[in-house]
Amino acid sequence: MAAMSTLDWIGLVGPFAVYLVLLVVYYVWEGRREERLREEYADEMGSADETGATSGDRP
Amino acid sequence: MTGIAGGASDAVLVTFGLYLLVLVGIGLWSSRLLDTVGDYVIGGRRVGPVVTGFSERASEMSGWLTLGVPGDAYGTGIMAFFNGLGMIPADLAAWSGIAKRLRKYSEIVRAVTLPTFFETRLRDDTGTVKGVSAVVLIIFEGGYVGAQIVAAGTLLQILTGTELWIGIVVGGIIVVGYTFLGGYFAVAWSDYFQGAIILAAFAILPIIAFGEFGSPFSGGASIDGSLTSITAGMTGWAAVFGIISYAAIGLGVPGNPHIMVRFMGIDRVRNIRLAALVAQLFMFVAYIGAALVGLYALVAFGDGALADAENAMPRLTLELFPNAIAGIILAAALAAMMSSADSQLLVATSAVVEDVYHGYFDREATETQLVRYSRYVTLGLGGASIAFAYVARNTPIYDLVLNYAWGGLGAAIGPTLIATLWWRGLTREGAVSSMIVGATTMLVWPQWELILGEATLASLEASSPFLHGLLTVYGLFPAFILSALTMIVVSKLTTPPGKEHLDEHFSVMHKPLSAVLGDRDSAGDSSPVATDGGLPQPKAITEADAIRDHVRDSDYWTDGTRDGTPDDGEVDE
Repeated sequence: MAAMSTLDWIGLVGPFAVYLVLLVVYYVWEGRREERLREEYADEMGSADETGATSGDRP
Repeated sequence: MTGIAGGASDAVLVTFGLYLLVLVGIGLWSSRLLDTVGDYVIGGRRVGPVVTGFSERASEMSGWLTLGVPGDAYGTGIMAFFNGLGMIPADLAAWSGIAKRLRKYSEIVRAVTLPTFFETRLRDDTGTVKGVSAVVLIIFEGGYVGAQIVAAGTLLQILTGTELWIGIVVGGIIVVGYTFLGGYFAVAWSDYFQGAIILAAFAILPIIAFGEFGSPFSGGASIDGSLTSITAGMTGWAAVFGIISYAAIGLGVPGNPHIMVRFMGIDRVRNIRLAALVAQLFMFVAYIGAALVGLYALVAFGDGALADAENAMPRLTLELFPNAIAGIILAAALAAMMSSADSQLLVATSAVVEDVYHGYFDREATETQLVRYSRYVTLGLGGASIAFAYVARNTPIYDLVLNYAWGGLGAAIGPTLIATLWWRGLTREGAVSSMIVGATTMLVWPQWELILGEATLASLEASSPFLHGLLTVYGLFPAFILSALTMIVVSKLTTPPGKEHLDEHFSVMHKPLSAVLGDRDSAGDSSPVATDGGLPQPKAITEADAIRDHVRDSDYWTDGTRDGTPDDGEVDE
């Protein structure tokens, strides 16, 4: 029985490990980005509207 | 009637039949209930980001992933794990780079289908963009339907021992009949439920098999060393193009409407990352599980023991699960295939009648005419799909889907879809030429053996491994590149539409979704199909939801017989 070589194991596990890391990075980065966009938009709407009303924070 | 389950087949068949009957019963009951409260559309789609992410992936739980990928692993070995090599990162890229933009842009141009989105985004009043994209949908969604029918026929063959062609004809008639009934049997939740059953099977089957057979890697290595080689024993250019072929599958993500339509229907952008997380984890389990199932089939039954490699998943299910559970899993797989085929047939039907006939040839057509034509077209396309399935019955489901459905949509529509969201320079001419080049290349590329001859191709393998690898690589790789290049060159040579509108539209990409929805919500004119952003709960549009809503709006099946009162389930215009 021929065992799998180290290269085969790296080829098998490596991509999935990298993708898991990418997913975590995306999840954290996307959360921060969305938060920043909402804050910027709220500021923009607040400064554009003298009453201070914004169009809401629904999304 | 004795299937491969031998003595156990009767018990499996009884469970299998009961599951489908219960599904139909629940579907009918739910459909009536939802109709009576006038909440079919809104209520059916009020689901959270977890289901959004789940449903985005559950549509793959049809023929390709349930039968095709395990079959690929059975024949190729551990290299089949690379089916996720391109798909997983491409899906993540789609969630991060396409989902929000498509959701916002489709809101701006008020489009719920891709042909309509392209037409309005490119300000094409000639109908060319809509017509060409609709033709692409007709061809490749038809291919999808054919592949689902072959998969359904394969399952029926395994369970009953009948001839494959009989399974295909019976499966095809069921699919077309099911579509004719309006597809209401498979209410949205049952799609998730069936996806969950099959996903659970892919998670549990390898665990049971591990207890039974031990490591699939040592088992595979003892059969053939190439089965545990990450390049399947290939070296040089053959290995490089083999890996490129697997990775290129991911290029199909942006062009496949059943994925994009989910992005178009998302309500709360902040939920996208959670939905993406669920979809990605789903993919990890599904792709790794499907490949392990194929490997364990290899260990359990031996190399070449199965008449058809794509019998691997049902055979292992019947081998390792108790009869009742095996019957439920296989019935869920069949129901998922039916549901997918139903949606795909309706996509193709609406493309013919709405986008081509109504949008291009006869804009004055009455609703009654469209209803009548839709029925003829469904029958015609259904018949063509059965014929295609019969002719292609000996082609693996894996290849049928990749070459004649997934790849065609990816090459023809993918580059244009990405460009509509990221590139202001895209023109109508660029989009149309890209679709034509992408579709044509995808149809031609798998035929090189037929065009050049088997002997010529074999001699190339020795004389020019690079050229041989290039000609035998998965066609989506060259088709996507050629399609994108054509789009860029032609767009550069022509004039993009309405720069002032584009500037305004693209500026919204850097704002939250409320920047798009706010005014329309207050005016109360949001469409109930994909733009109902005012509801308090996040929702998803599944492939089935979207198509059924579209069909329902068009009165295809009701023929205008409903009275339009609030309780009759009709969608308000």
